[in-house]
Amino acid sequence: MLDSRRGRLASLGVLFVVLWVVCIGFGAATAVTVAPDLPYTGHVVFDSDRYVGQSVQVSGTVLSTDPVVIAAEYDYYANGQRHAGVDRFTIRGVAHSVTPGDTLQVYGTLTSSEVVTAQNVVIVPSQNYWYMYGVSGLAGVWVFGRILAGWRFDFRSFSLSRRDALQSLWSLLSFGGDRGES
Amino acid sequence: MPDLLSHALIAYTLCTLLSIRYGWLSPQYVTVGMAGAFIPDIAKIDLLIDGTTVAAFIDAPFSWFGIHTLGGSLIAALIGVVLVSAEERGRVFALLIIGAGSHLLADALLVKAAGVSYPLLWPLTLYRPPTPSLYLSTDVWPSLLTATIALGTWYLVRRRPTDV
Repeated sequence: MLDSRRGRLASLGVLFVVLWVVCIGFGAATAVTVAPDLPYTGHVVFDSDRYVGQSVQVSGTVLSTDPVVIAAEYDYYANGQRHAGVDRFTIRGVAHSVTPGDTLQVYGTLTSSEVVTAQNVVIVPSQNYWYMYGVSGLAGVWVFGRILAGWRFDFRSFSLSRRDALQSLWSLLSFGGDRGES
Repeated sequence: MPDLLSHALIAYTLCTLLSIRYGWLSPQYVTVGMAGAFIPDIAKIDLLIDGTTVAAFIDAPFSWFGIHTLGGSLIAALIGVVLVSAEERGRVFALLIIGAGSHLLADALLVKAAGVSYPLLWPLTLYRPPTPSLYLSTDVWPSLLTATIALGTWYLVRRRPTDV
Protein backbone atom coordinates (compact mmCIF):
# COMPACT_ATOMS: atom_id res chain seq x y z
CA MET A 1 0.00 0.00 0.00
CA LEU A 2 2.82 2.37 0.94
CA ASP A 3 4.64 1.73 -2.31
CA SER A 4 2.09 3.34 -4.56
CA ARG A 5 1.94 7.09 -5.14
CA ARG A 6 -1.60 7.19 -3.82
CA GLY A 7 -0.74 5.19 -0.71
CA ARG A 8 2.27 7.37 0.02
CA LEU A 9 0.34 10.62 -0.38
CA ALA A 10 -2.44 9.30 1.87
CA SER A 11 0.09 8.21 4.52
CA LEU A 12 1.89 11.55 4.32
CA GLY A 13 -1.45 13.32 4.76
CA VAL A 14 -2.20 11.29 7.88
CA LEU A 15 1.30 11.90 9.31
CA PHE A 16 1.07 15.66 8.72
CA VAL A 17 -2.28 15.71 10.53
CA VAL A 18 -0.75 13.75 13.42
CA LEU A 19 2.20 16.18 13.51
CA TRP A 20 -0.29 19.08 13.61
CA VAL A 21 -2.09 17.42 16.52
CA VAL A 22 1.27 16.94 18.28
CA CYS A 23 1.90 20.69 18.00
CA ILE A 24 -1.56 21.41 19.41
CA GLY A 25 -0.96 18.91 22.23
CA PHE A 26 2.40 20.43 23.12
CA GLY A 27 0.91 23.92 22.90
CA ALA A 28 -1.81 22.86 25.34
CA ALA A 29 0.65 21.17 27.70
CA THR A 30 2.90 24.24 27.87
CA ALA A 31 0.20 26.95 27.69
CA VAL A 32 0.57 29.94 30.01
CA THR A 33 -2.76 29.03 31.56
CA VAL A 34 -1.17 25.85 32.96
CA ALA A 35 1.09 26.57 35.95
CA PRO A 36 4.44 24.86 35.28
CA ASP A 37 7.18 23.88 37.75
CA LEU A 38 9.31 26.63 36.30
CA PRO A 39 7.39 29.65 34.96
CA TYR A 40 8.95 31.56 32.06
CA THR A 41 8.48 35.15 30.91
CA GLY A 42 5.10 34.45 29.26
CA HIS A 43 3.70 32.81 32.40
CA VAL A 44 4.86 35.70 34.58
CA VAL A 45 3.44 38.34 32.23
CA PHE A 46 0.15 36.43 31.96
CA ASP A 47 -0.42 36.12 35.70
CA SER A 48 2.40 37.59 37.80
CA ASP A 49 0.45 37.51 41.09
CA ARG A 50 0.27 33.73 40.85
CA TYR A 51 4.07 33.38 40.82
CA VAL A 52 5.18 36.02 43.36
CA GLY A 53 7.48 34.30 45.84
CA GLN A 54 8.26 31.48 43.38
CA SER A 55 11.33 30.68 41.28
CA VAL A 56 11.03 31.88 37.68
CA GLN A 57 13.25 32.21 34.59
CA VAL A 58 12.96 35.38 32.53
CA SER A 59 15.02 36.57 29.55
CA GLY A 60 15.52 39.95 27.99
CA THR A 61 17.80 42.73 26.80
CA VAL A 62 19.47 45.03 29.32
CA LEU A 63 18.01 48.54 29.19
CA SER A 64 19.79 50.06 32.19
CA THR A 65 22.30 48.86 34.76
CA ASP A 66 21.58 50.75 37.99
CA PRO A 67 19.31 49.07 38.77
CA VAL A 68 19.47 46.36 36.10
CA VAL A 69 16.28 46.56 34.04
CA ILE A 70 15.61 44.17 31.16
CA ALA A 71 13.12 44.37 28.32
CA ALA A 72 11.59 40.89 28.14
CA GLU A 73 9.75 39.91 24.99
CA TYR A 74 6.71 37.73 25.47
CA ASP A 75 4.51 35.95 22.97
CA TYR A 76 1.76 33.63 24.12
CA TYR A 77 -1.75 32.49 23.30
CA ALA A 78 -4.50 32.72 25.90
CA ASN A 79 -8.24 33.29 25.95
CA GLY A 80 -8.56 32.96 22.19
CA GLN A 81 -5.95 35.63 21.43
CA ARG A 82 -2.28 36.11 20.73
CA HIS A 83 -0.53 38.34 23.26
CA ALA A 84 2.87 39.65 22.19
CA GLY A 85 4.91 42.56 23.45
CA VAL A 86 7.68 43.67 25.76
CA ASP A 87 7.57 43.89 29.56
CA ARG A 88 10.17 45.36 31.89
CA PHE A 89 11.65 43.50 34.80
CA THR A 90 14.00 44.92 37.42
CA ILE A 91 16.66 42.37 38.29
CA ARG A 92 18.23 42.58 41.73
CA GLY A 93 21.36 40.79 42.87
CA VAL A 94 23.14 40.64 39.47
CA ALA A 95 26.69 39.61 40.36
CA HIS A 96 28.07 40.03 36.82
CA SER A 97 29.00 43.29 35.16
CA VAL A 98 26.42 43.90 32.43
CA THR A 99 26.06 46.59 29.81
CA PRO A 100 22.96 47.87 28.01
CA GLY A 101 22.26 45.68 24.97
CA ASP A 102 23.41 42.44 26.63
CA THR A 103 20.88 39.59 26.55
CA LEU A 104 20.30 38.08 29.98
CA GLN A 105 18.72 34.85 31.09
CA VAL A 106 17.78 35.22 34.74
CA TYR A 107 16.77 32.55 37.23
CA GLY A 108 15.56 33.83 40.56
CA THR A 109 12.64 34.60 42.82
CA LEU A 110 9.82 36.81 41.63
CA THR A 111 9.70 39.20 44.58
CA SER A 112 6.98 41.41 43.13
CA SER A 113 5.14 41.45 39.82
CA GLU A 114 8.07 43.04 37.93
CA VAL A 115 11.07 42.43 40.18
CA VAL A 116 13.23 39.30 40.13
CA THR A 117 15.92 38.65 42.75
CA ALA A 118 18.52 36.71 40.76
CA GLN A 119 20.11 33.46 41.86
CA ASN A 120 21.83 32.83 38.54
CA VAL A 121 22.35 35.05 35.52
CA VAL A 122 23.59 33.94 32.09
CA ILE A 123 24.83 36.58 29.66
CA VAL A 124 24.20 35.61 26.03
CA PRO A 125 26.48 37.52 23.63
CA SER A 126 24.26 38.72 20.79
CA GLN A 127 27.17 39.28 18.38
CA ASN A 128 27.56 35.52 17.77
CA TYR A 129 24.12 35.12 16.22
CA TRP A 130 25.44 35.83 12.70
CA TYR A 131 27.88 32.94 13.12
CA MET A 132 25.13 30.59 14.30
CA TYR A 133 22.87 31.39 11.35
CA GLY A 134 25.78 31.37 8.88
CA VAL A 135 27.09 27.91 9.77
CA SER A 136 23.54 26.56 10.06
CA GLY A 137 22.90 27.67 6.47
CA LEU A 138 26.17 26.03 5.45
CA ALA A 139 25.06 22.77 7.08
CA GLY A 140 21.76 22.96 5.20
CA VAL A 141 23.57 23.28 1.86
CA TRP A 142 25.98 20.47 2.79
CA VAL A 143 23.28 17.96 3.77
CA PHE A 144 20.99 18.94 0.88
CA GLY A 145 23.93 18.40 -1.49
CA ARG A 146 24.60 14.98 0.06
CA ILE A 147 20.93 14.02 -0.36
CA LEU A 148 21.06 15.01 -4.05
CA ALA A 149 24.28 13.05 -4.51
CA GLY A 150 23.09 9.90 -2.76
CA TRP A 151 19.33 9.81 -3.31
CA ARG A 152 16.94 10.40 -6.16
CA PHE A 153 13.37 11.64 -5.99
CA ASP A 154 10.85 10.02 -8.30
CA PHE A 155 7.75 12.14 -8.81
CA ARG A 156 5.77 9.26 -10.36
CA SER A 157 5.92 7.11 -7.24
CA PHE A 158 6.56 10.13 -4.97
CA SER A 159 9.49 8.34 -3.40
CA LEU A 160 13.17 8.66 -2.65
CA SER A 161 15.42 5.89 -3.87
CA ARG A 162 19.06 5.35 -3.00
CA ARG A 163 21.57 5.71 -5.79
CA ASP A 164 23.87 2.74 -6.27
CA ALA A 165 26.81 5.09 -6.45
CA LEU A 166 27.23 8.66 -5.26
CA GLN A 167 26.52 11.10 -8.06
CA SER A 168 28.77 14.13 -8.28
CA LEU A 169 26.87 17.36 -7.87
CA TRP A 170 28.55 18.64 -11.00
CA SER A 171 27.05 15.83 -13.06
CA LEU A 172 23.64 16.50 -11.55
CA LEU A 173 23.90 20.11 -12.66
CA SER A 174 25.00 19.20 -16.15
CA PHE A 175 22.74 17.95 -18.90
CA GLY A 176 21.26 14.55 -18.24
CA GLY A 177 23.65 13.83 -15.41
CA ASP A 178 20.85 12.34 -13.35
CA ARG A 179 19.91 9.91 -16.09
CA GLY A 180 23.35 8.39 -16.31
CA GLU A 181 22.77 6.14 -13.33
CA SER A 182 22.24 2.46 -13.81
CA MET B 1 23.45 22.51 20.46
CA PRO B 2 24.20 25.88 19.04
CA ASP B 3 23.90 25.44 15.33
CA LEU B 4 22.81 22.97 12.68
CA LEU B 5 26.40 22.41 11.57
CA SER B 6 27.30 20.95 14.97
CA HIS B 7 24.21 18.73 14.89
CA ALA B 8 25.03 17.53 11.36
CA LEU B 9 28.64 16.84 12.36
CA ILE B 10 27.60 14.83 15.43
CA ALA B 11 25.24 12.71 13.30
CA TYR B 12 27.96 12.31 10.66
CA THR B 13 30.41 11.08 13.30
CA LEU B 14 27.93 8.67 14.92
CA CYS B 15 26.79 7.17 11.62
CA THR B 16 30.33 6.95 10.22
CA LEU B 17 31.46 5.11 13.36
CA LEU B 18 28.46 2.78 13.05
CA SER B 19 29.52 2.06 9.47
CA ILE B 20 32.56 0.24 10.91
CA ARG B 21 30.18 -2.26 12.53
CA TYR B 22 27.49 -2.31 9.84
CA GLY B 23 28.82 -2.86 6.34
CA TRP B 24 25.61 -1.69 4.66
CA LEU B 25 25.94 1.79 6.17
CA SER B 26 27.23 3.55 3.05
CA PRO B 27 27.67 7.35 2.71
CA GLN B 28 24.09 7.50 1.37
CA TYR B 29 22.85 6.16 4.70
CA VAL B 30 25.16 8.47 6.67
CA THR B 31 23.34 11.30 4.89
CA VAL B 32 20.03 9.95 6.22
CA GLY B 33 21.38 10.20 9.78
CA MET B 34 22.52 13.77 9.10
CA ALA B 35 19.09 14.65 7.70
CA GLY B 36 17.60 13.16 10.87
CA ALA B 37 19.67 15.63 12.89
CA PHE B 38 17.71 18.42 11.18
CA ILE B 39 14.31 17.07 12.24
CA PRO B 40 13.91 18.75 15.66
CA ASP B 41 14.81 22.14 14.19
CA ILE B 42 11.81 21.98 11.86
CA ALA B 43 10.34 23.70 14.93
CA LYS B 44 12.30 26.81 13.84
CA ILE B 45 9.50 27.34 11.33
CA ASP B 46 8.27 29.41 14.29
CA LEU B 47 10.61 32.19 13.08
CA LEU B 48 8.61 32.37 9.83
CA ILE B 49 5.11 31.50 11.02
CA ASP B 50 4.72 32.33 14.67
CA GLY B 51 3.16 29.47 16.66
CA THR B 52 0.97 31.84 18.66
CA THR B 53 -0.35 33.35 15.40
CA VAL B 54 -1.30 29.83 14.30
CA ALA B 55 -2.92 29.28 17.72
CA ALA B 56 -5.00 32.44 17.39
CA PHE B 57 -5.95 31.44 13.84
CA ILE B 58 -7.14 27.94 14.77
CA ASP B 59 -8.38 29.12 18.18
CA ALA B 60 -6.48 26.43 20.05
CA PRO B 61 -3.09 26.23 21.80
CA PHE B 62 -0.31 25.49 19.33
CA SER B 63 3.47 25.26 19.52
CA TRP B 64 5.87 24.27 16.75
CA PHE B 65 8.22 23.15 19.52
CA GLY B 66 6.15 19.98 19.80
CA ILE B 67 8.36 18.81 16.91
CA HIS B 68 11.43 19.47 19.08
CA THR B 69 10.45 16.59 21.38
CA LEU B 70 10.62 12.80 21.29
CA GLY B 71 7.03 12.43 20.08
CA GLY B 72 7.17 15.14 17.43
CA SER B 73 10.53 13.99 16.04
CA LEU B 74 9.27 10.41 15.88
CA ILE B 75 6.27 11.41 13.74
CA ALA B 76 8.45 13.62 11.54
CA ALA B 77 10.88 10.71 11.07
CA LEU B 78 8.00 8.53 9.90
CA ILE B 79 7.39 11.03 7.09
CA GLY B 80 10.92 10.22 5.86
CA VAL B 81 10.24 6.51 6.25
CA VAL B 82 7.10 6.68 4.08
CA LEU B 83 9.11 8.30 1.27
CA VAL B 84 11.47 5.35 0.78
CA SER B 85 10.90 1.82 -0.51
CA ALA B 86 9.83 -1.04 1.80
CA GLU B 87 13.31 -2.60 1.97
CA GLU B 88 14.92 0.70 3.08
CA ARG B 89 12.40 1.57 5.78
CA GLY B 90 13.97 -0.14 8.79
CA ARG B 91 17.40 1.34 8.13
CA VAL B 92 16.09 4.81 7.28
CA PHE B 93 13.92 4.90 10.41
CA ALA B 94 16.81 3.85 12.66
CA LEU B 95 19.17 6.43 11.15
CA LEU B 96 16.64 9.28 11.25
CA ILE B 97 16.02 8.49 14.93
CA ILE B 98 19.77 8.40 15.67
CA GLY B 99 20.15 11.82 14.04
CA ALA B 100 17.08 13.35 15.69
CA GLY B 101 17.91 11.76 19.06
CA SER B 102 21.48 13.13 19.01
CA HIS B 103 20.03 16.59 18.31
CA LEU B 104 17.57 16.41 21.21
CA LEU B 105 20.27 15.17 23.60
CA ALA B 106 22.81 17.79 22.51
CA ASP B 107 20.21 20.52 23.04
CA ALA B 108 19.52 19.18 26.54
CA LEU B 109 23.09 20.19 27.49
CA LEU B 110 22.64 23.89 26.65
CA VAL B 111 23.30 26.55 29.30
CA LYS B 112 20.13 27.48 31.18
CA ALA B 113 20.04 29.95 34.07
CA ALA B 114 17.67 27.66 36.00
CA GLY B 115 19.91 24.63 35.42
CA VAL B 116 17.13 22.60 33.80
CA SER B 117 16.70 21.92 30.09
CA TYR B 118 13.47 21.38 28.18
CA PRO B 119 10.78 18.66 28.07
CA LEU B 120 12.54 16.59 25.39
CA LEU B 121 10.72 13.37 26.36
CA TRP B 122 7.23 14.77 25.77
CA PRO B 123 4.58 13.30 25.41
CA LEU B 124 5.91 10.72 27.88
CA THR B 125 6.58 13.43 30.44
CA LEU B 126 6.92 17.21 30.74
CA TYR B 127 9.94 16.69 33.03
CA ARG B 128 12.84 19.00 32.28
CA PRO B 129 16.06 17.11 33.06
CA PRO B 130 18.90 19.00 34.74
CA THR B 131 21.44 20.38 32.30
CA PRO B 132 25.19 20.49 32.89
CA SER B 133 25.06 23.83 30.99
CA LEU B 134 27.96 22.98 28.70
CA TYR B 135 27.49 25.60 25.98
CA LEU B 136 25.43 28.55 24.83
CA SER B 137 23.44 28.41 21.63
CA THR B 138 25.74 31.10 20.23
CA ASP B 139 29.10 29.58 21.22
CA VAL B 140 31.57 29.04 18.37
CA TRP B 141 33.71 26.33 19.95
CA PRO B 142 31.18 23.44 19.76
CA SER B 143 31.15 23.54 15.95
CA LEU B 144 34.97 23.67 15.88
CA LEU B 145 35.17 20.71 18.26
CA THR B 146 32.56 18.60 16.44
CA ALA B 147 34.25 19.43 13.10
CA THR B 148 37.61 18.23 14.45
CA ILE B 149 36.08 15.00 15.76
CA ALA B 150 34.18 14.43 12.49
CA LEU B 151 37.36 14.99 10.49
CA GLY B 152 39.25 12.55 12.72
CA THR B 153 36.48 9.96 12.29
CA TRP B 154 36.47 10.41 8.52
CA TYR B 155 40.25 9.91 8.45
CA LEU B 156 40.08 6.87 10.74
CA VAL B 157 37.36 5.13 8.71
CA ARG B 158 39.03 6.02 5.40
CA ARG B 159 42.32 4.50 6.52
CA ARG B 160 40.68 1.31 7.72
CA PRO B 161 41.35 -1.72 5.52
CA THR B 162 38.13 -2.54 3.70
CA ASP B 163 38.84 -6.24 3.10
CA VAL B 164 38.23 -7.25 6.72
